[in-house]
Amino acid sequence: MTSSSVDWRNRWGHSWLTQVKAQDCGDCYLFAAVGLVEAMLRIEHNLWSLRSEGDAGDSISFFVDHHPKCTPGGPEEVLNWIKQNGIADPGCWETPQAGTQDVTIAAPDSGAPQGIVKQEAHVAMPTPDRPGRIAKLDDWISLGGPSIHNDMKTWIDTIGPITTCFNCCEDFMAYSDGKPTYPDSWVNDVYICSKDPKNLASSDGHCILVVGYDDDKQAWLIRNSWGPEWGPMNGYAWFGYGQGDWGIEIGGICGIHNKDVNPDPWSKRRFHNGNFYEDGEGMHYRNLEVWTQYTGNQIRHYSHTHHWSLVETLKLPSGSATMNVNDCAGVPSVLSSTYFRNYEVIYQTNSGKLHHLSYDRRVGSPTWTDWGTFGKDIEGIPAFIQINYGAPGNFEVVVRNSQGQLENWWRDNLTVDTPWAFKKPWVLKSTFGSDVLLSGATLVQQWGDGQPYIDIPAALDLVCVNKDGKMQRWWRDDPHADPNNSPANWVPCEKFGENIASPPVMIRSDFMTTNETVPGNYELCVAVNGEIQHWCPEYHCSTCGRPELAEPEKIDWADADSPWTLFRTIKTNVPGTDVQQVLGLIQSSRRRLELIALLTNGKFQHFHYDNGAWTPGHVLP
Amino acid sequence: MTKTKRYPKGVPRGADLSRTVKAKDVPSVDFEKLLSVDTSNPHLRALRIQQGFLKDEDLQIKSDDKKLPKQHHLEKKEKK
Repeated sequence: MTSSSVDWRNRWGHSWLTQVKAQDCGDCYLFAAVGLVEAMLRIEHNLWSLRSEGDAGDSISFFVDHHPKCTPGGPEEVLNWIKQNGIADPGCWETPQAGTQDVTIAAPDSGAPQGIVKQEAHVAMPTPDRPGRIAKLDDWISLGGPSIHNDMKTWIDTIGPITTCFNCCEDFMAYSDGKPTYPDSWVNDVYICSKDPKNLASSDGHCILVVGYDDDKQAWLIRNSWGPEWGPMNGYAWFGYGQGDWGIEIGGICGIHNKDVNPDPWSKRRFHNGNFYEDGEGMHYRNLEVWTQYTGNQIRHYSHTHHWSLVETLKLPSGSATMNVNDCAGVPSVLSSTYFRNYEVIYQTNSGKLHHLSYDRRVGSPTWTDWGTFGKDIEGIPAFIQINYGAPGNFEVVVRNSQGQLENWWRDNLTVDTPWAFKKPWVLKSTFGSDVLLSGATLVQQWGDGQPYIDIPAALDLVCVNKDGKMQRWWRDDPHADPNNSPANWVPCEKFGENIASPPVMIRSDFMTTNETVPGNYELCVAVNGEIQHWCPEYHCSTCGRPELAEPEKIDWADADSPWTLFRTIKTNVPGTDVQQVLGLIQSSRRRLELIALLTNGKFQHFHYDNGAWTPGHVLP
Repeated sequence: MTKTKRYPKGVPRGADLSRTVKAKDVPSVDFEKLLSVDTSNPHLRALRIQQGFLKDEDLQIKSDDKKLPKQHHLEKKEKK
């Protein structure tokens, strides 16, 4: 029943593996284990989620068994550490810091100290928001038993890649200019250990990831950690089935079940906007969460596991700043931040201010915290995101004011050691635009060079609705801003659409991506004349904003050709009603676009896009 | 730098095979149990249904959502 061949590099028309990495010392087992976590996050949650070998390795070095990172180990101890501590992204901790440290070496088999030696040491010093940047791991499994060969194939076919460790000989390693130094060991590009005594004498243990197999070739598809320069296939190779003690069916064979990986909110930050979020908690880490304005200026929270249900009407604990959450006058914008995966909520109040709440998940019984109000004369839905400046990254809000302008507010989350312990002020960074009719949850940070890392300048994109009924994209030119001078300029860009009279919502999906370095496509949904319009740029939008242009201010963006096309429209299936407004949009673990819309009868309806079409779903209770 | 200089003989590997779990010491995986759990991945879900591991009653989503997703129109266009 098992498929006769599997290749997770390209399966069902999509890539599921991050780019091949290069280990810099004897820590192959770290790269195998972390590569496994990355692959399963991609397969189960549709996320490119680069993880840091340094995060695990530099911590294991000193906190687990005094085991230096660059001395031999196995993937099991790494996966156990990740199970206890999670695994962060490279922006949280990556760069090893040089130095030496006394390390206690245990005597083999006894566990008793054998001596203390000086080792080249790296000390893990992750950013203070590590608890909100880690992917979590519930469990992992060792594969074995008498049918290990077939079980490895079944696992790889139906779940995903696995780690393995083997006796690694010289004829496996040696490659020069893309050709094997020992060609007799590579038969039709399949590695078969030569069994040459000289070759075997040099063998040492090595761990890799198995990402496929092919019965015709009688070989496993393996992914090495010696960079894309190694081997016959840019870091990948075919490794012959069997081979006894010189094969890869012997030990260190570990897998992660789909349900056991729990992605971090930072990896998902471009996949949602508005009042809708797919949470990393709950049933198999794909709960859908929605917050809406409710009668009496209250906020209601709905959740979906098997079906939609009302979770709560928000109430704050005593002692909060304003003691009032019955002031909501518009759609809340919600995100899950790197502050402990807290929900952060911003909404317009009935007195024309913005109100910031957060759902504090530091403790076992989370509670709502009131961060107070800011701004005045606000008349719009706030666009609200966390960006990569600092760790925790700053919060940014863009919202329309009563004069028809857009205001860019921000909260500096960086400049204190324990940022979550202080109430920090929201500051008005700039006011721009005119004749703006509506703001919406459309703010997205672009891809900067080296985008997994913090403090890399990356522009912001935003779409608003003007009084002429057209949508217009704005671009904040962070890459060209002078950090010592004024804030980055907002640059008006192309206009598109007609007769728009409700706020749009925009995200960046994973469509068009081939690995973690490639930006996905923009997806924008807006209600027009009673139905939902789905817009996306016709070309690959990695060049949206044209950051490669040196003098963007000299381009007349208002007259630029619009790359946006109306892709799909969808109506509600509730009789006698129309769609009034799109409130939130996500791309979910199921690789679907999903949205929440307000109907003209006051109800909220869930829609989803897959299989080439939008489908109206359940109406929330 | 030549490609062989970066990975000279003996460096870098790093597995201590004495610390890894041997396949012969581990019981076989119970795939019937593991694969009866639903997955977010629509392709894997379809595969498990096709191979008889995942039954209708195991699905967390309704049956008319089981179809395999097609590629996004822009992804199709790029491959031409």
